[in-house]
Amino acid sequence: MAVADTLAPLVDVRFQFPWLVSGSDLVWALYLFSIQIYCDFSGYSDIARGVSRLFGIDLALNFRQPYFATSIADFWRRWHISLSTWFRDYLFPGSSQRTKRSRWMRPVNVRRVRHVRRVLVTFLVSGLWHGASWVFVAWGGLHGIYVSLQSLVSDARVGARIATVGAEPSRLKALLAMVATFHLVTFTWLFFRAGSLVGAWNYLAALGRWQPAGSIAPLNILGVRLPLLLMTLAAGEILQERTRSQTPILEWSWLPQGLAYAYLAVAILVLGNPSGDVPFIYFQF
Amino acid sequence: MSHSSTSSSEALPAKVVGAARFLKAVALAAALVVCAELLCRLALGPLGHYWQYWDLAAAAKFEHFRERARQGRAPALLVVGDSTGASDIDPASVASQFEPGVDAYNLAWPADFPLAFRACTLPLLREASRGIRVVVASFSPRGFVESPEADRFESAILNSLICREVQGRREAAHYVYLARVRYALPFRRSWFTGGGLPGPPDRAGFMPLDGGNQEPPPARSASATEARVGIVSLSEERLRAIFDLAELGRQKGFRLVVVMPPISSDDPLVAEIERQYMSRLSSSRNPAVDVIDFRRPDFLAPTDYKDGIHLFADGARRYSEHLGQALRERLSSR
Repeated sequence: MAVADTLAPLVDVRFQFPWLVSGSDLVWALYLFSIQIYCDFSGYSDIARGVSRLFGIDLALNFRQPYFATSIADFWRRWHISLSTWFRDYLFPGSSQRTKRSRWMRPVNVRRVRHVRRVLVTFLVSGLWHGASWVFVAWGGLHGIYVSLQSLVSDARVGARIATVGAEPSRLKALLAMVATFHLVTFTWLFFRAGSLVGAWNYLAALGRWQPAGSIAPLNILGVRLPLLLMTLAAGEILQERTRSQTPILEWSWLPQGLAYAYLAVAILVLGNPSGDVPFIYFQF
Repeated sequence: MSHSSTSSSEALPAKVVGAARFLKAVALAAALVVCAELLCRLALGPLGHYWQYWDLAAAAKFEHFRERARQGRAPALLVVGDSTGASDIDPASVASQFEPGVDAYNLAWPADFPLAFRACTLPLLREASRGIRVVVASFSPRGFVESPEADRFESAILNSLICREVQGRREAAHYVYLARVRYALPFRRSWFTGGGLPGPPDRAGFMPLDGGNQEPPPARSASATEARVGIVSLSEERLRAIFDLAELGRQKGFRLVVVMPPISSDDPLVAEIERQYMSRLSSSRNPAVDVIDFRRPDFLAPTDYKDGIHLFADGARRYSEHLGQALRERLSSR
């Protein structure tokens, strides 16, 4: 939450006045929103889980380091798990009615078309779940296209015997896939955040012009505060991903554990924006 | 030496061991955070209000005025308002038109538009206006119209910690010194001692714009603005800044003079906003406000304007001298 609330004012002003911001700032703002929405939503989910556990209710994990996903399908296994699981369980099989088989289609093509259609419908509905607006349709549609393309490419690779089933990808490949997935997801957040298709277009147009800085002061990306805050976040994420635990610090002995808590408390107070006046993004949904 | 099996950690349930370890860790963390907080209190205490401002120069300008008022040395003539006051009015040139010994100070700040002024500057004047004889308010009339631009420009002031504190919207940094560190970083040489805090602003707060003798800015197409002429209206909430200031003047014994700042634009939208502004200032429903009109004056050439509403330094000084004369005549006539 400290990270999300710190990033919120930096992102808000750039999405509100994209024509007054430099091209590089617009790119940074998009990255920062990607991080903001994750921290905001995941942070509130973790608070809800913790409070529930105080009352003896064990809520399911809702986010599992989604930006370490190596594909869009993997991303959706890690992001908003409660919703994506619900869609997978109730909507995805529900759309698998019998389809008339075209004369020119082989069974395998029919299966692919059905699959792609189901994926697209599921993601479009998922977009509409967020609001009756074209930007959410675009957001869901993009994710649907990503997942469909991925499954088609994956099928083709298996068919061409390029991929070896069960083989672990190399570290470099996994890293590249992770970076690519993060960028694809980040691009879709542009529509999510812009508020309208016109707003998204204005942002993209300003980005395309790669304009010099306007009257809004450039982001201090190379300062101390933002990098330190983001590195702290990244360290926590890497630790959780590597240990496959959401509470790895609890396993440490008391001395490093105490030092870690002290660092986190001081970092939140010194680097964060603990004003408490930034609304939770998902309250609107 | 052997340990009994009941006191060895191996014999305790894992949950108990984890809880004890967690409590020790929390105690250590709490002790470290408290120590850090105490150190910050020691270091940042001498900074007073300086760390709360949105800008270092603003901190110097406003805090110097506060200090002068506290010492009973408030200026006789005070300029307040937005950039049309900050950049266009030279206190020394205004004061030069009065008898020796009359001093003037410019407390205006760019984008201190009516909402920001009412929220942040007006409370300061309530606290520190003893000794002030005349307050000159210079606002761009466009600042009285609700617009996203006005909101954006004002937000730096409205969201500043000094403004939040004045309005009772206190946040963590007002209570916890650790949360002040990043705001106080620009003053790090003054930590512990308070020495080296920004001194009085140059030129008594006048913030002249460099440059001049350029080609006048091209006139904008009026077609887009003409469509808005019929629908534009001033915000009552924003106008209250002027009327609240007039009311404060009555309470504290200073005279309020509102200046219509120089402008070179013939934009019909601007003209309509000016007309409404003048009309509201002279409205009998509101407390009487003295207005001096300097729109499109003869003594300024098009090249004196930077952008149609802001003056370069030479033009600003000439305008300030005329303003001083007008003020002197106005004050001596009543």
